Amino acid sequence: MSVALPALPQRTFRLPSISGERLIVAAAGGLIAYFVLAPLLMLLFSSVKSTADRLPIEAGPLTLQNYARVFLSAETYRLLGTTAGYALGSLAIALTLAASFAWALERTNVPFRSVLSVLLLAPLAVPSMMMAITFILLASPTIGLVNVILRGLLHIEGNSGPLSIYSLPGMILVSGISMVPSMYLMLSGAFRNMDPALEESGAMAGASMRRTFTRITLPLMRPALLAACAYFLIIMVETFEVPALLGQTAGIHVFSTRIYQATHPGSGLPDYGLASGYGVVLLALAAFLILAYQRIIRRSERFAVIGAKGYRPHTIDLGMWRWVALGALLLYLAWALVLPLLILLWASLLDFYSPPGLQAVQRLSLANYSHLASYPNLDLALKNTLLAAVVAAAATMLLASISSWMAVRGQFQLHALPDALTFLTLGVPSIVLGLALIFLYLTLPIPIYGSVWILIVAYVTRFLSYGSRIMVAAQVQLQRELEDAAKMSGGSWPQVFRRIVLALLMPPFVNGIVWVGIHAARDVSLALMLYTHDNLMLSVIIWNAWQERAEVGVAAAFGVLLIAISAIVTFVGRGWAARQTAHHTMREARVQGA
Amino acid sequence: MTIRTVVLGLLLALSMAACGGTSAPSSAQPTGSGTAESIDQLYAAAKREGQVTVFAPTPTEIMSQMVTAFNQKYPGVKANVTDLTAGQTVERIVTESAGGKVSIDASQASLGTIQPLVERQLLAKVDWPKFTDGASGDLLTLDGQAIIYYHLPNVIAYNSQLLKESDVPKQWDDLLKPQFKGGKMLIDSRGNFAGFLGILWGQEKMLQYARDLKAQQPLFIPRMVDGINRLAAGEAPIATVSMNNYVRFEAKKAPVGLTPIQPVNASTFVAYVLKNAPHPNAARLWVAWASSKEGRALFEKIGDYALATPGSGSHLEKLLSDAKLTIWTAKTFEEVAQEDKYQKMVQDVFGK
Repeated sequence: MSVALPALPQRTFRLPSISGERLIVAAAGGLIAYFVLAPLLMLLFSSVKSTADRLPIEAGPLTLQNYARVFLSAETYRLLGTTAGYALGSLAIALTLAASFAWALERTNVPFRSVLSVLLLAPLAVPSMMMAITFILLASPTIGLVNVILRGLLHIEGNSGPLSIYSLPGMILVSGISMVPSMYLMLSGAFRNMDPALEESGAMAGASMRRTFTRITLPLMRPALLAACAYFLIIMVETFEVPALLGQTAGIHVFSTRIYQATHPGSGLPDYGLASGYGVVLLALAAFLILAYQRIIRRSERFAVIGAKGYRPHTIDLGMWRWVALGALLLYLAWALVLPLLILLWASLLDFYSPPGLQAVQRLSLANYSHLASYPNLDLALKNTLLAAVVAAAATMLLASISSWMAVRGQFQLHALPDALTFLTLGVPSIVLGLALIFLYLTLPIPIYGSVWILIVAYVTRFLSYGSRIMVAAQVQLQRELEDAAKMSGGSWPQVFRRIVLALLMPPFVNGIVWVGIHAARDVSLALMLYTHDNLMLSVIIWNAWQERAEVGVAAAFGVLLIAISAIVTFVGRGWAARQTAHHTMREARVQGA
Repeated sequence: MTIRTVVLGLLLALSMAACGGTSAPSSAQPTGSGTAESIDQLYAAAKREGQVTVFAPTPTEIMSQMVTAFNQKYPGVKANVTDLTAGQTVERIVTESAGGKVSIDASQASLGTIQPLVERQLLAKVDWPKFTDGASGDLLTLDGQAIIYYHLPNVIAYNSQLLKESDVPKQWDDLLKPQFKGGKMLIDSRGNFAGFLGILWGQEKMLQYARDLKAQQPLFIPRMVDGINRLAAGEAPIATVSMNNYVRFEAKKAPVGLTPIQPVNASTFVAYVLKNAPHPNAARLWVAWASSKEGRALFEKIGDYALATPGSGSHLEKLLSDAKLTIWTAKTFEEVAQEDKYQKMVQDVFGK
């Protein structure tokens, strides 16, 4: 069966004529343009500069040679083929798991929902490199814990197998599993905001739970699902750690490993021209995806489910199936959180890594943890990390909220441009973004070069695309009549935006804050690119411990610490968001009752 | 002003900022540099500058001990040290110079890495023997623009629990034996342990060796540092590792040993001061002290960073000598460029 969604009149929401209100939107649009245009211009500029032995910002001839190197090379198409298989495979796993978990945790009566929803996000705190290493330690053919156990259980002779993580299926599995928390965060707000009345109508009309899910829930979730697909498809094409550590080991190469090779030469300067040429391919993919997405959400009313009628939170009773759902969630958590965490904990207690065993038990100590306390400049790194994470997260989500409002509600020229621009920055490799920012702030009379503020600018630029996707998907769920009513009651635009739009979209807004904050705190590439004595970040300390000193134990101890901190932050943040939503719903119910 | 005007204005401003490249650093040479005739005069001038900004590809834990010792010897000159790779530091210096604002005073990098700085004439030429006892004879390079500081050899190590002494490979060709086929070696995919073989063996022989090595189906690793960890963990019996990581793992009693495969290559790291350093005297004072016998001894003691060349008397030299390893280092930019070219060829073979 199908349910006819409420047809709404095609009203337009024009920008108020008061200049102050116009200014807020113009300022936000201008700020977004300010953040994203420099890296985009740098990417395009670098792609047509001859960068043999020079940086793109230095004098040199213009050329199309970089494009020729990218597009006339058979290797590019071979890499694209492998990359497409890897990215789409990972996406399929992540989307299936994340959407199922979001639905189960936000809409059904699966047990221990609040604890599980926090635990599901805990792996976010682990830097990708560390996560990839933990999977090697779990499933390497020789030393992988899972293989060691399987060999014992199945009485397999020899010291290799039966599983190998060094394969395309291994890469897809690890990437897919690793991506679930981020995707869950993007989808859960949309599932939470959905008015259950439509599902109830379906159920009352005799539709089975599966039919209701496929014919009502999924179509209504289309903007959020497509946003997640578009965003994570690009992310997967860009992702480096898993292909480098798992794929490259087995001789499997993808797009991102090629960009890495171009930008990390053994000597001399990075090949910005080639990296930018590849970046432009990503940019074209991003442009195609954002245009397709904006076309789909053009008639946003079709997906609007949060209306003026108000609704009470309602959970779907899964009956005995809730235990099956709980089992699936626990199975995922065991593989994505518990085992990696155990491996990290184990590694953090050793001076050098050894697979679990009696011999290694004798070497266990807390030395790495006591070492953390005396780490040089740790206090500065913690302060910078906290500041960068909090400010970047708040600024990103505020700007993303306004740009998403402009994209969905705006009726003025170029209203969707800021949103599209934020998405395009996904195509800019981190090294190009870093170079653009260094050069920009060396040139402009804004004294943030070398300070933590240049990192904040970098993170806002980098993560606006995620913030926009999450907020656009949520914004299209919001019926226009709420804002119209508030306007007609005399509310100014800032009041309407703050008390109606932001208040109703608090769950995805907080999810975005959590995601951006954690990703800013764990970022390594931009933090290293813009690193000076004064803007040291915790992630740089971890990276240096791991990559320069080969101190897996110290890095693992930091990883355990980060997971603990992020679990607490996530728990507090999502708890606060839940209280805000409940408070708002109750207030709405009281108004309706009156 | 319409939104479109604002956007177009920003676009224009950013375009100008992003595209306005320059080929020469615009910051002026600070006054007072290069006039000191002795270390005491240099210290007095450095004290007036008050601080020095150093970028070093060395862990903060080690550099903080170097800073403490420097501050004790030369109070009044605050050293701010940033731990960044040599390649990223060189790129930062070139960017800052192009932007007209240099913030870095002194640094250290491998000879191959600093080539872009030499080409752009960004290094200061200093009469180092006037200021330090650690820059005599062969230790001065690039016509006084840099001091040879330490070596980082790349070696072939083995896991002593997985490989019997009698099975340890003794020469490069031993790595091609059937017993090391199928995931038995952790090999740096960048091939930076093998580029120099092209100079010693010739291009064709080196390329054939790289192809044969790949046919052994090794486990390719993105960086050397992954090799020592995974070797010690027992993932494979053989790995390419850098010597200073090997030394630390051996000190931890990890099950690792050095194969006698030789010759092996070593990167030569140099210390230098930038021509447009904002604190030129403090920069000279830092490099003079760090490269002095006192500074070198401390650097070796706390971080195993030392010269590996015969006659240097370092612990590193003794280790290599005990293992009967000879090292090859590029001495000129031509050799560096040649090694780099061959290394990229090896990388291509591994990557295909």
